[in-house]
Amino acid sequence: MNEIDQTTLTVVNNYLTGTCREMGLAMVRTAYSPMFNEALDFSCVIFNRSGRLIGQAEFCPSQIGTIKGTVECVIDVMGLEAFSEGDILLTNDPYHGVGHVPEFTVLKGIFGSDGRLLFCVANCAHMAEPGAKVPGGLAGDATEIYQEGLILPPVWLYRDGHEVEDIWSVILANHRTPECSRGDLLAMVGSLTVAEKRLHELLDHYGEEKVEAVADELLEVAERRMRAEITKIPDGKYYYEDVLEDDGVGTEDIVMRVNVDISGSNLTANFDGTDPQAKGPMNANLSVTASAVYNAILHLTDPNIPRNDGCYRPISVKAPLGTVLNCKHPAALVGGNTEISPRITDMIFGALLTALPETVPAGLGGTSCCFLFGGQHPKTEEPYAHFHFEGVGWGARYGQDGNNVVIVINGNCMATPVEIFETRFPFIVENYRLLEDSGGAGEWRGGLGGERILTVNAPEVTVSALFNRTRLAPPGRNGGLDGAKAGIYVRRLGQREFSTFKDAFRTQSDAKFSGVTLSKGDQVRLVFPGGGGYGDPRKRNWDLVRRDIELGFVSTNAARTIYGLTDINA
Amino acid sequence: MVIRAGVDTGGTFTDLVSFDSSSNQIRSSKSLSTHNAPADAFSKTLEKLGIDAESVTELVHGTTIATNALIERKGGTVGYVTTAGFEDIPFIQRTTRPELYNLSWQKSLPLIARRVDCYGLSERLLHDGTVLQPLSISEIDKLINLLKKGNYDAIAVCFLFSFLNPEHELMVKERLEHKLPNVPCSISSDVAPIWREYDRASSTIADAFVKPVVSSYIHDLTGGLSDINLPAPLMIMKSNGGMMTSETCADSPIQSMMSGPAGGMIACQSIAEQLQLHNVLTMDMGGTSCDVGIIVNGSQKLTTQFEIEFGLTVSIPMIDIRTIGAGGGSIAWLDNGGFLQVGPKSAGSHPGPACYDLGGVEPTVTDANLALNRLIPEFFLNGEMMLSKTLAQEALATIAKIQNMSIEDLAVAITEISEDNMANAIRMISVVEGHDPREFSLISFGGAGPLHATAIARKLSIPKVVVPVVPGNTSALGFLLADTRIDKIRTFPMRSDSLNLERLNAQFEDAQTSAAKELRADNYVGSILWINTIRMRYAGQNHEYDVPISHGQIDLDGIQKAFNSFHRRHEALYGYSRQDAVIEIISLSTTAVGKTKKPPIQFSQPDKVNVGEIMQQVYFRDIGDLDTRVIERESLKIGAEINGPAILVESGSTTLLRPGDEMVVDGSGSLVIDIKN
Repeated sequence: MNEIDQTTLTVVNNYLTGTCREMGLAMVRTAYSPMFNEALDFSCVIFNRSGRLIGQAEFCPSQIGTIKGTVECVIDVMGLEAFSEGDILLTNDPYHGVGHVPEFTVLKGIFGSDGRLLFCVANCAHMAEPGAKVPGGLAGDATEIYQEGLILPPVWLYRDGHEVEDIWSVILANHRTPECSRGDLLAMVGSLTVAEKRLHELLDHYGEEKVEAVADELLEVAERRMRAEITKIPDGKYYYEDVLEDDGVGTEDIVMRVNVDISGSNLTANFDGTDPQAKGPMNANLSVTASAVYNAILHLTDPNIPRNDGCYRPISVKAPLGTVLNCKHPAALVGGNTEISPRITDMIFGALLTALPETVPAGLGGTSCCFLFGGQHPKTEEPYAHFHFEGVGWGARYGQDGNNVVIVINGNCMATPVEIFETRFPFIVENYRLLEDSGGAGEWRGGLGGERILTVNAPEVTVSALFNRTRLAPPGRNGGLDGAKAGIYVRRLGQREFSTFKDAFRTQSDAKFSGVTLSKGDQVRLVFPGGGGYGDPRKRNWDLVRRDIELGFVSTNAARTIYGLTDINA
Repeated sequence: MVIRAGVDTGGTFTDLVSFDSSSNQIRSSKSLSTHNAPADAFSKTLEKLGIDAESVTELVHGTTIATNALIERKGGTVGYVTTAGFEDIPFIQRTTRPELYNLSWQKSLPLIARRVDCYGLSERLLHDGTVLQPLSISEIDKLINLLKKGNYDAIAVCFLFSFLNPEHELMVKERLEHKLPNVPCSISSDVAPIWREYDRASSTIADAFVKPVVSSYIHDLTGGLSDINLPAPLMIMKSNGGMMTSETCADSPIQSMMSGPAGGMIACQSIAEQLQLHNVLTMDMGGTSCDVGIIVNGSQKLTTQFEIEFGLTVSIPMIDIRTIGAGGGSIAWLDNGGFLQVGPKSAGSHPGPACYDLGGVEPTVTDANLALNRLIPEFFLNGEMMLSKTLAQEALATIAKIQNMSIEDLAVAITEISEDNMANAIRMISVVEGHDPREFSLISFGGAGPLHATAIARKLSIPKVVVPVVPGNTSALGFLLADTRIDKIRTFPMRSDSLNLERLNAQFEDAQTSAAKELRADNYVGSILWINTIRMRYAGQNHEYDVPISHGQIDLDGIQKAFNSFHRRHEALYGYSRQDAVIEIISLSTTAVGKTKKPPIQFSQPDKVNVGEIMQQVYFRDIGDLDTRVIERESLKIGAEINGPAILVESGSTTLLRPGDEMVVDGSGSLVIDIKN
């Protein structure tokens, strides 16, 4: 079918994006957990008949990339022909391509008039409660995947339009918050129902053959455009290495290495030489690693390319099996998707700095600041579990300061409002603010990080954490200075000062631990990192420095000593 | 003569629609806006219609002054007062980004400056509205000393959980009124008593920000109106579709934010009523943007979600109108991959489309329409502006060449992409909300709307299109038809398994008492019509639906009916409901409507004669060129029937009938078009 016109391509592409957004709206409106209805930690996508991604919207880049890996695994294991009308598949198995155990992925086939599979629609959603060893999952000291939650290899959640009761009861029996989990799973399924309706309308309007042809052509267009973009990057081999500070259970300074090889319209990211997989949860599967590379490349290229599988075709990702970037079963890996993913993206940025100096930003805040907690609510006596995260400073860009406190680059989640947070969970938020001087100094300043202090307002709360960038700061680039580090601290009731959890509770790591019990009146201080600076701070326009002082972004002391401002008031 | 006038002041034109109650005659005209002396345009337009200002006894006005102040960020300097520790809430905002993969995105700047204009007070409420830390008078007085030094034009106050208990905000407001009487103060529990501190703070700051501008505008305008001896008290159109006195507007200026579009919706509601259409979609397409709206079962839909730009929310009750960047001036362009895109960038009125010959060179939707002979230069704005088809073609030629298309094919593609963008916007307010467009009619107005309406209706399988009288002045027409209207929200959680009907009824009563009081303050004396809704969700969800409930005491049976209708709605939208689950009531809202006497929309029979049959070759996709009749709308008598293809021209707009469309002129003067789908 060569007679597909430009108009139809644009229209169908917009329709697919619109359908994904609509799935998201359904999810937000019906889900139970603030993870979804406030924080938006989920992604809705559409695949074509052969499992190629053809539609996505403004969701979490890491999830969008990993669902691709998940669907590829499903095709390997059972083939899409296993789907019939009314079936919904569920998996959260990282060894079947899912990003990490909390990410429940549901898949549904959409069928044509003759019973042929035409699309798959999917929703990948980070459940606040995956049934792990601690409430909220993400145990910072897990050493096996079994500690990270109930693992579901691809299983049928619905068959022929009916709930498969056995699997529902297994899941809900393993979750601390069964009522909430059930509501969230129903919301995920509801989002697929919405997509199904909408795609049938598209098929009715254009006819099945035409829609399939258009979707195929959209893949071609995206590939062509991505190739054109990669061709613009000078050919060469670009190297970068980065260090993860620890794995939560004692190993420090884990080295990751990448060679980005640009040759014509092809790009290969090869992670040869990366350290062996960690004992703790700081590992990534290949799905996560590839997703993070795609995320980097999509950020560095034309934002108008249709976002589908065609974009990914020119990009290949290699990481040796058994390393932190392609770990082997049964390694723990819950930190890969939240913590390593943004770091991989930043490594690709770092590698391409010399090739694209005006596009690549300075080091990103680069951690999700995962703070997990759960227990029984003292008022309602109902169980609760939550995954709380924070925004971070963006790296400065050539010609632009970094944004202050924005969600980490692998996600696109919202901060939960204080009023929602306190209504749902037994904490009192003492403050929530930006921190002066946390943005890395530079000709263009890194975005500011911030802090939040929480006071426990229940007899008992179980908390866990998975933070990075607490010892190794987000790097400045081209002469810019590092951004401020992240941190998580505790002050027991009656203590004067905050201390690390290591000092207060003898956890093995400062910022990666699980299952610590806090009592009423204890406080937790979350510090989110700033972004790195770009360019020599002494070259920064003094008017901007003065403005930064006035707005409380930079202290007068830093203005003098780092930016070299001699006359503050002029 | 007793004249009621609706006046819509926009960036370029001031539209006036008048109703003479002695002759039942509606007339309309427009003049260039006079921003330095807004009343001048009023008097000029009245003059054009031969109306004596002294005979205007009722005057309803809509203005973009608040909207423009927000968009152009030309408001007052605002001091922001909040709970200590949370001064950065307006700066942190909500941490998401509007699009993925864009490293050059810049977070929106709030309307206040960080640190210098932000003040934290020691006070704290808890999530049930109880006081954790009381606010002391000495703390407020300390603040007032600082505010004095800051020399602010207005103050915005937003404390955590104030929507549950406004006590602390009221303390600050009272003290400020006493000690800083010349600095107006907006408090969040007044402006937007809703859950979620950021949205509440952002709305309150916006209200304070526009206060000085709106106050001085109203001051100037009332002065100017009294200079021209116009006796009517000035009423201002509100975002919620009601109207308010100019004093109320100066106090609560954010309410006037969407006044123009709200007028358009009110007009549509009346037209729908007159034509006995219960379900209506609306589209108002002008030069730069298109507003779409919906009327279900004769009622407007209200929302409290609006953004000035990404992340800058204004959460006040307003008619749910979605704006997209699709207008006659929207520019067609090729993205890096060679995909044709249309808008959101617009050539606006300066330089305007290439065919205006005012220096514009980029091809716009209007240029495309002209190239396709769908716009007739002789009739455009009564021929006051001569359109150049040659310039339109030249502007289109560059892209046509790159795309290897004929100019006509490109022009068709531009109109279709633009129409598709509008269809998507309509889909968002209809299909996504569970309404099937096939059960709706489309009322289309604005200068450019009627040209595209029949195409959009086809895309959405909408069976009927209505083009009202004076489609270029519909907002002003709506002002004539507006009621007085007060919305009150009360937020308080309650569960279906522990209902307290006494409390629910008490909350309603409280809201209704205060709404009635404000309605009387807006000079309304008649009986009040009440619209009540309860906002609910499954306990555990975080987003709610408004379920209507009848006025008066609510008993168990009544609330059960409301719960049942919630289950049904959930089922219809998402394919499932949870009959066994607990339902949580989050808030209630009550609307007090003071009904005004409305003029019948009835134009006098035209006396204009068609200037003879003009035929025009018009290109339609998949058909090719067709001989198309060009007819002056004002020559059509009530009951006249026209079959497409045809072009109906009038001074402010052009209506395109496509092959197969069947049109009749309704008794109200509206064009009613049956679409052949």
